[in-house]
Amino acid sequence: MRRLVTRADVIIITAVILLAAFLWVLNPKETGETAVIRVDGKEYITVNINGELTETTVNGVSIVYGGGDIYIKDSTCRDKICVKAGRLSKQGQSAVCAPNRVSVEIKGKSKNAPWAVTG
Amino acid sequence: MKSGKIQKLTVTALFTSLSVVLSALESFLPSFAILPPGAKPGFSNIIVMFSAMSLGVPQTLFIVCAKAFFAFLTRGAVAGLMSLAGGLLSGVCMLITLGKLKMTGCIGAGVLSAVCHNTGQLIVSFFTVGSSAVFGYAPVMLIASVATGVVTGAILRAALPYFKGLEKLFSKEMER
Repeated sequence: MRRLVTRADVIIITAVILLAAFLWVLNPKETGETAVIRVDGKEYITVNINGELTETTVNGVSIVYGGGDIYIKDSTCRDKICVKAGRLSKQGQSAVCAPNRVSVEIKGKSKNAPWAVTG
Repeated sequence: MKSGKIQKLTVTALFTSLSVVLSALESFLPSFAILPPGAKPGFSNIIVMFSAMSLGVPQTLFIVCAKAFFAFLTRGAVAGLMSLAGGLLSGVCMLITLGKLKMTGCIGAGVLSAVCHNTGQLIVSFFTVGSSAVFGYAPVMLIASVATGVVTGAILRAALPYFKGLEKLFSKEMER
């Protein structure tokens, strides 16, 4: 039983890769215009990402937006996954700082389409 | 009978500390170039996988909870909760696939364990962040899970002969 690879393993890996590809394809790739900044899941502010460069700090997370994109410049958290998410401009793209409970997400046009939100 | 139980307890304690140490050391590693930011290889999954194979249900759950408690102490409540959710999900999954069904090989178990672990963490971050935006990470996370799962699975296979030596210690005694 303790083999390195079995037929079930190949099925598992294929299924995971297919699932990833499926979720990837469903991601909307259109450019968005506004971004929602949420704190504790509640909407904090919605900003226009095509306006002038503006910097704002929420819960220790400094966010820069304007000129066509939005990005998290710095955060007080340890892993800085949100900073590494880079510049966001496409609908559904997001950067999340779990330790500070702040999220930034580019809004999709169709609000009710589930994948525009989850993407 | 009695000494078998003690040996099992000792091995459980040893593996608990091993999983805590592995996850602590892992956080010092720089982000791997091939992996997305924040992804960890998840070496302590190896311990949980072996535990699910031969130690048993309570022991496996204990190891997972102890690791989560350590994360809670060192990195705060959110990290502790994420570790607990990820650990429990992958622990239960390993108990079913490795302990009961015995259909998967080491690589498959590693991948499955990584996927479950990350899914648990993603669910917790969904609730703490309160936005479905976290699921944007899902495709990247799944691919990273395959990569790290293959590595941990291969390590498990390589380490198994040595682990089995430990297992003999208590299973032999138990038979007496």
